[in-house]
Amino acid sequence: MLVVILPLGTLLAKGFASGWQEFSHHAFSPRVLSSLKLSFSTAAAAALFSMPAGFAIAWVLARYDFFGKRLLDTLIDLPFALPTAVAGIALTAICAENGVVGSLFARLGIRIAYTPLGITVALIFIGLPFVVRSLQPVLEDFEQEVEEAALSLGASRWQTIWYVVLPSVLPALFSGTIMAFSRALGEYGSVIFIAGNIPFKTEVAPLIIATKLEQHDVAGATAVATLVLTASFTLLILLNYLQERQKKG
Amino acid sequence: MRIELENITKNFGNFRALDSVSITVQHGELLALLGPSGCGKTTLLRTIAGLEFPDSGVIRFDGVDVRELSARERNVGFVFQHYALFRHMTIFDNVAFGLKVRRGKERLSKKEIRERVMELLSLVQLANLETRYPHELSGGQRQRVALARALAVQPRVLLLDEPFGALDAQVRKELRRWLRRLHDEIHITSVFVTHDQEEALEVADRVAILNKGKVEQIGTPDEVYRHPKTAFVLQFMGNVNLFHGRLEGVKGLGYVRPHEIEIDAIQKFPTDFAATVEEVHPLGRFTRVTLLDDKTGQLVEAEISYETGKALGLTAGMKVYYRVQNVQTFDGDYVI
Repeated sequence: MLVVILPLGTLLAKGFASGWQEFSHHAFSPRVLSSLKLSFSTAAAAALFSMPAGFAIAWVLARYDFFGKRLLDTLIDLPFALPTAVAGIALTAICAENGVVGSLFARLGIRIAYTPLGITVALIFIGLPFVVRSLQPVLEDFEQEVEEAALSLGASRWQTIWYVVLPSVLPALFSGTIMAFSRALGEYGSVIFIAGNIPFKTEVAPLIIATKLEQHDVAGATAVATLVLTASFTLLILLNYLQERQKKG
Repeated sequence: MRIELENITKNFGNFRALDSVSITVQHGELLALLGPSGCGKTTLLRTIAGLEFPDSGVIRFDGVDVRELSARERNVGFVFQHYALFRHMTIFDNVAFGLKVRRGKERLSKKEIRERVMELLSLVQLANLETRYPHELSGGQRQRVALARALAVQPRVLLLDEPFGALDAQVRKELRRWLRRLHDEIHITSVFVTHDQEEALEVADRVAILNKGKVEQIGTPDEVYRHPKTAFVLQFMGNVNLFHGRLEGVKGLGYVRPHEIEIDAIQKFPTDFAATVEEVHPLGRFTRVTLLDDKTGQLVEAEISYETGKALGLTAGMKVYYRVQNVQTFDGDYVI
């Protein structure tokens, strides 16, 4: 507890050390607000994408045996293990206009690198494993008999997934998505390379914090950090509640 | 509905789960598939349901081949051992599920669904629990919900896989009597799987005994119990003592049930065997006595009435005589 509360408490105390006026001056400046908006929207977009995609991957991993399953299973953990800066550089290389993926999209007139879309791609990359890994065990534990019961009652495959399987794993799906979202909110390493960091356009909140710290603007950095922290903390409480629900079933 | 199973064979890898099984289930009958675990009874039930597909053989529902039909299309009601209820749905929604997933012409109105569900819930005596969730119910109640859910789609056949297997002894007895009464009321063709011979004998119209993927015998409870066709059936239907060519008129193996052995303090006939009492267990109405045959050293189990046991004053170490009242052989005929 102390390990968590001490730095968080210090952060809050520092943020408000010079009063509300000072805090709001730092926290609600147009540049900060624009970065917060960008961080929240890209994190949300990435999480919303990861939710169905993560479900599909977890479903395939839990249900089917196929060639290369072990490899895919291992690859899911790659974003956890990879240093985020490495991931960022790699993603930038792939998504840049001369990269493998980037050149394909460039032909369609879509730029990925150095746009909010690029940020979202990076955030999906680091967030997707959270969804897969929280769903996979729940899907593996799901009783085959319950699906068979639905089938024998005349439900189609889709009806069975939609009305029977999905509602049962919903808490796990939500908690995985929230984890992906809150991780994305604070992501720094993998994002800054692909983002391009153009103020008011592709500058994320964690970068603002880092920049302010580099300029010895501790008060400004803590003010922004406080906002991000509050958001993360709220999500964490929600997460806890959802995990309790999954346990109760 | 009449179900015909003809030469059903099913392999799981190298394991032959069903070996050319042929059974006919008559219209409106309650048939028990009885056998030890791994005998193929559940696989056979799942094959009827369309949850498993045989490698060879024919399945006909009222003369129509249903091999190509999926579980969804066969219109069967299936009740699982561990209930398999939808835990995020209320009891009402569980029972209504099969009606709600219908599409197009077959779909009932909300009012009709409600009427049908409430009717079924009162049939299984759970009318006041419709708003509860499965985890708020006892095991026996959950299984009745599962039954109501299966019956809601008006299946042509009801299939029950060890329906009372997960319940404690008392509830189990109540529920199987209740199932028998229910079947007498609604007369739906039913097949249920069990490993408990007492349960099969009590509930079923006919019993099919399976062993190692093959049918050993099919018949009424009385037939399979009194006239077992094979040694396996005889042994599976209850405890039995084996005698190797020691009984008069029996050449090979003779099988004697514990209650067919009589114990006496004195020798009445020259054929009586001398023995020593090993153990005496009074079990309510009767007393189980384990005897050690003085000549062969074989252990013989006998069940005598409690009163007889008391009159004889049986205690461990006591010298007694026993005689066989009835013996069954599978080499020749009955010998009394």
